[in-house]
Amino acid sequence: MKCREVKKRLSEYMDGMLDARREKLIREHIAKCRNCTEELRSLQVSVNILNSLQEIKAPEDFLEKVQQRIEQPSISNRIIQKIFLPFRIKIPLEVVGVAATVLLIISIFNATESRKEIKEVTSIIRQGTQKESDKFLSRKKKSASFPARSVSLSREKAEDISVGKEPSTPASGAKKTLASAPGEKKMALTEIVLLLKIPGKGEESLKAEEKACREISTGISPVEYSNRVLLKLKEIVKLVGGKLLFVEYGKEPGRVKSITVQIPAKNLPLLADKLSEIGKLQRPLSSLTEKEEKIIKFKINLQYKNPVQ
Amino acid sequence: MNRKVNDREDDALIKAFMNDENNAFDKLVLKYKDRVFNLCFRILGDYEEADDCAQDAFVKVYRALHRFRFEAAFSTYLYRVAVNTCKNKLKSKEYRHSKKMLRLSNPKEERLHAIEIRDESLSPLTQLERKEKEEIIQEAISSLPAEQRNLIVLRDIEGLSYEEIVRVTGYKLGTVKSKIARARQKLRDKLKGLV
Repeated sequence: MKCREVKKRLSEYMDGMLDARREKLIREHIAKCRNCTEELRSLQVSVNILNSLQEIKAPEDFLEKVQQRIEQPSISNRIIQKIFLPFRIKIPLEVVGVAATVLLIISIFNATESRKEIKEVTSIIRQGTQKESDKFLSRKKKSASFPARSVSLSREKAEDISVGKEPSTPASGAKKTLASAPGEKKMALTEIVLLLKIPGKGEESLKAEEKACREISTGISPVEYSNRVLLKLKEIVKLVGGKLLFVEYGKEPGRVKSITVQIPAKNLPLLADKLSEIGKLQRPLSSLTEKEEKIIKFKINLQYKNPVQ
Repeated sequence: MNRKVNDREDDALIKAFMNDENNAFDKLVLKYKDRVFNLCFRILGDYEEADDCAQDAFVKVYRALHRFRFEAAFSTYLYRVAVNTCKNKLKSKEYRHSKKMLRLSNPKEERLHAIEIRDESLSPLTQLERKEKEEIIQEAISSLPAEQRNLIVLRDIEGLSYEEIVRVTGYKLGTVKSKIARARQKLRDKLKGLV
C-alpha cells in the first residue's frame, strides 16, 4: 500500500471503520513508515483536542425560555389568527379554500359562456345571413339552462347588432309578448306602427319634415335606406333620452322590420314629433301612457310605404 | 449510561408527554439542553445564536413530538432537528449579514465571549491560557465548510457513531467518512501550533 492511499484512510483507521483486510495492510504499512506514523499521531492529537473541548453549558434560564416560546403561538398560527381576527367564529382554512375554488370555477364558467355568446353573435353579424340568424335565435329559445347574465349581455349589445327574423309576424297595433330568455320575466310589449314617408325624386316645394325624409332616402338602395332610417331612429331615441333595446330585421336581408325602445314617458310627445318627420304613426303615442309609468318600453314596427327603387 | 437504557428512558418520557404529562417534556429539555446547546454553539460559533437555535430546536420538537413514531432514538431525532435549525440559520441572509458586520467591528471577542473556563482548581493564568486555546480551536472549527463542520462536531465533539451521523444528517456512510477525513486533515493543519 502506498503512503498516499494510507493517509487517505487514516481517519477511518483511527475510528475502526475499515474492513479487516485494509486495516491489516495499513497497520503493516504504519509499522514500517515513519512519515505515515507521524501523520497518524498528529491526526489523533487534533481529534483528542476536539474531544477535550469543554462543553458549553446552556444558560440557567434555558428551560423557562423554551417554555415561553412554546406558549407563544407558532408563526403560521399567528398569521392565521391575524387573517381571521375580525371574526369571532374562526373559519377553518379548508372551508375558505373550498369556497374560493367554487367561486373561481363559477366565474371562469360564466366568463367562458359570455365569450362563446359574443363569438356567436359576432359571427352572425359578419355572415349576416338569415339562416345563421334563425339558427341562433332558435338555439337561444331552446336553451333552458342558459345563464341569465349571458342573455342580458347580448341584450345590452342589441343596439349594435342585427338579430334575425322571429318566426311569427306581429300584427300591427296588437299587443304581443316578446320571446324572452328563460328566467327572465315575460313582458307584454305595446306595438305601434310607423308608416315611413318617402318622397319621390324631383318633388318640389317640400315641407320641412319631408326634407328630412328625403335627405335619408334619395337615390339609394332599399337596404341602405333602411340603414339610414335606423340611424335616424337611433338619433331620435337618443335625443329624447331613451334607449334602443332591440332591432328586428325582416325577410329582406338587411332591412329593419322593427325596433324596441325604452323612452321616458315625459318625452313621448317629443318622440312623436320627431318621428312624424320621417313617417306617420298609425296610433298616437299618448295611448302608451295608460299605466302612468315613468319609463315606457314599446316596439315600433316600420312600414315602408314607397320602397326606393 | 447504557444507550439502550437511555433510549428506553426517553421513550417513557415521550409516552408520558403524549398522555399530557406536562413535566415530561421539561425533563427531556433538562436532560438534553447542554448537549444541544453545545452542538449549536460549536456549529455556529456564537453564544447568542446558539441559544436561539437550541431553543428553536426544542420548540420544534415539542410541536412535533405527538407524532413521534419511536422508530429512531429520541436523541438522534433531537440532533437532526438541531443540526437542521443551525443549517437554516447559517443559510439565512440576516445571519450572514450580522456575521459580516461583527467581523468588521470586533473580530473575536463578541463571538467567543461565552467560552469561560469554570474549573476553580486552575489558576487564573492557566484558565486564561486554556480560554485562548479554546478560542483558537473554535476559530479552526468555524473556518471549516458548513457540512464538514457539522460532521466533525457530531463525531469528534459530540461523540456520535458513524451510523448515528448517517441517521442525523441523511448522508451516505461513504460521504460521512470522506468528509470527516478531509475535515480532520484541515483541522490538523490549522491546529499545528497546538499539536
